[in-house]
Amino acid sequence: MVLLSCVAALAQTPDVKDIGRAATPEEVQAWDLTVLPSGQGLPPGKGTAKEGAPVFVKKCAMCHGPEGEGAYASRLAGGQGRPVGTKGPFATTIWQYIRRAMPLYPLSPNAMKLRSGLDPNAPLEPSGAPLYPSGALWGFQDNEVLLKTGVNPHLTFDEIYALTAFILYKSGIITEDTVMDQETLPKVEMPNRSGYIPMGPDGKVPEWKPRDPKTRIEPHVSPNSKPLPAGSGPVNVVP
Amino acid sequence: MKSNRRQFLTGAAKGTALAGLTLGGIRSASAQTSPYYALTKTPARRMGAGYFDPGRGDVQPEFWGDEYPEGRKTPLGDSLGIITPNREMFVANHQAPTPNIDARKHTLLIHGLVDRPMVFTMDDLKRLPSVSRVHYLACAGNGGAIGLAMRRRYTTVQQMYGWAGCAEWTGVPLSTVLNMVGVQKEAKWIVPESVDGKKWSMSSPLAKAYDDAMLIYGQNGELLSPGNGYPLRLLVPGFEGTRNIKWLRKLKLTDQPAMSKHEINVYSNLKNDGKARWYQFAMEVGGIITFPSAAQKLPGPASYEISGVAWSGGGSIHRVEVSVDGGRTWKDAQLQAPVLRKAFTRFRLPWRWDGQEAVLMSRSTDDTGDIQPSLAEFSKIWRVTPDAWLTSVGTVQHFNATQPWRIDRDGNVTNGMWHPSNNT
Repeated sequence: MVLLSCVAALAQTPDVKDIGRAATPEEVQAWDLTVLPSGQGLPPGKGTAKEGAPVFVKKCAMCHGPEGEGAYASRLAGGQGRPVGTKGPFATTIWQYIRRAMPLYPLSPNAMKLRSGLDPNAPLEPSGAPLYPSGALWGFQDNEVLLKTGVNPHLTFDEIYALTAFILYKSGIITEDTVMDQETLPKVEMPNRSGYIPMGPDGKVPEWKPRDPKTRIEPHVSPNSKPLPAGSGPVNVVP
Repeated sequence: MKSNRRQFLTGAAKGTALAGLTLGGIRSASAQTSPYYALTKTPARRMGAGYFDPGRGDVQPEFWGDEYPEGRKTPLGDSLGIITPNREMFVANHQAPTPNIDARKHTLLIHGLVDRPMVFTMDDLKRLPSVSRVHYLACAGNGGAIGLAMRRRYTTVQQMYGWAGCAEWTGVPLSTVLNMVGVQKEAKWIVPESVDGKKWSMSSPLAKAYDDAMLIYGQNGELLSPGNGYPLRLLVPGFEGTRNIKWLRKLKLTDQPAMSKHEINVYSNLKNDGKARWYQFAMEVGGIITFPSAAQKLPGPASYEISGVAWSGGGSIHRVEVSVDGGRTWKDAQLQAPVLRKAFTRFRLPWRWDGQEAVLMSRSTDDTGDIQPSLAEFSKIWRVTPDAWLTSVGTVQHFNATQPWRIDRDGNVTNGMWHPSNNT
């Protein structure tokens, strides 16, 4: 099936030699923000929860709460909440997301209030937390820098390792002094590692194929569903 | 705009009061200031996106859509035919606003397990052989605000099901570009990435790239609209909307999915056995009646045309049946040609309303034989009784149960999902 469509696509493709250009290795490295569960994509650097704590207070707590318990933005810490990543199967997810998107700019004031369940006309604010983070905001310019260079303008790689360690520590997964780096982070045993379906015996998501019933996990269909007789067209079609 | 917001809040406050009663009067003091927060503080049964945690009830309700900056939902209640105009196409941005992209400078990088990593400008992509195809697009959470806690805030079909639309998309088959870079044997997944503030990224299987995935720059005869990914987006037809990465800047080929935040978190479905279903990809067969639908009014007993849209992420629509008596009897609706794969199909049925109470619903079957489940059947798949949804919090992904609309004797149409007669 895959082979057939490849052949068909090739047969239809005219000469495209002069379209597009080769990417340079530097370009690829700067643009690649993907970190795989194996750790592939993690840059050098290291940090502990102890080192992460002051960074967290300065750059994260205004949205996520002083202990990462959640405020305007999601709860991060605590093994049983709805954290960004500690309920996920791999610690690399946390690192990856902090690097690519944190600290995210705040929502508009009205959206913030609505998200917190407040009337937009009501005065702020029960917890006393500032509506906006007082520090630098993540804006389009910051985004440009990250997109072009792969460098998060607000956080060094060491700080990202330290913040990841802080969240893992606050969730009771590692100790305060455990060093997170390229080697140790992918090896962290996440408590909910087996909490996902489908997961193959090799710990990987099974390969998907078009219309392959094996890759459909509990599809939302009526039990009366059954394959249609061959040659059945749509019923009651009008031109 | 302001008055809309206020109206919506008032509605929500009422909803909370009702829900509070349903839950046996569980309400906290914070209800005074925060109706939604009060709901989330109840020890409600939690299902859907999010994580199973019987000990805590602090999941924030999802507020995406009309309340989000730049987010919007398709006004399905007024829709005709199958094409959603660009100005009406839903936009779900996940808090990261639409980026302002200079298309002259925008590029697409393809790298990873390929022989020749390459960079394409928009001009490059437009020189490649193009195709135009009609496909629908639906957010995985469309209609999934199923419980009372969520639904009470929604009064119209747009609010409940408006994270879906259908367009004619123009672009390049992804396979064309993959053949140019030379995909290596070990590659199994594509990891696309956006320009937006979160650098949105959701993996899709490589097999999908060779099946029918496309790089899109045109929408309904125009360039892509900004909210829908201008200048370039990925289209993985029939898959949950979130995998159709907008503002596409990069595609990496890998041997495993990226396990990005949203793959493990929001877009997994946590069921009552404590296990989350993830990588669900194709949206199941579904459909709704758009007229008459909630918040509309029939002026009096007369002849009307029942009309709606049906879809399936797995293929084309085979049949749509319509019931006007809450599912006791069904009639085949007319399907408007063309009936296209992974696209909206418009269905219609003439109907004379006699002025009595009526419950209207539609049931779709797709060309694989899959039939849209009733709420009872849907609940069984989730290992819960339909009543369990009354106290659930959070959005259910891939919700596709049949949607009843209830018409009272005055012609008012409301959500009939929780009317006693519709729960079986």
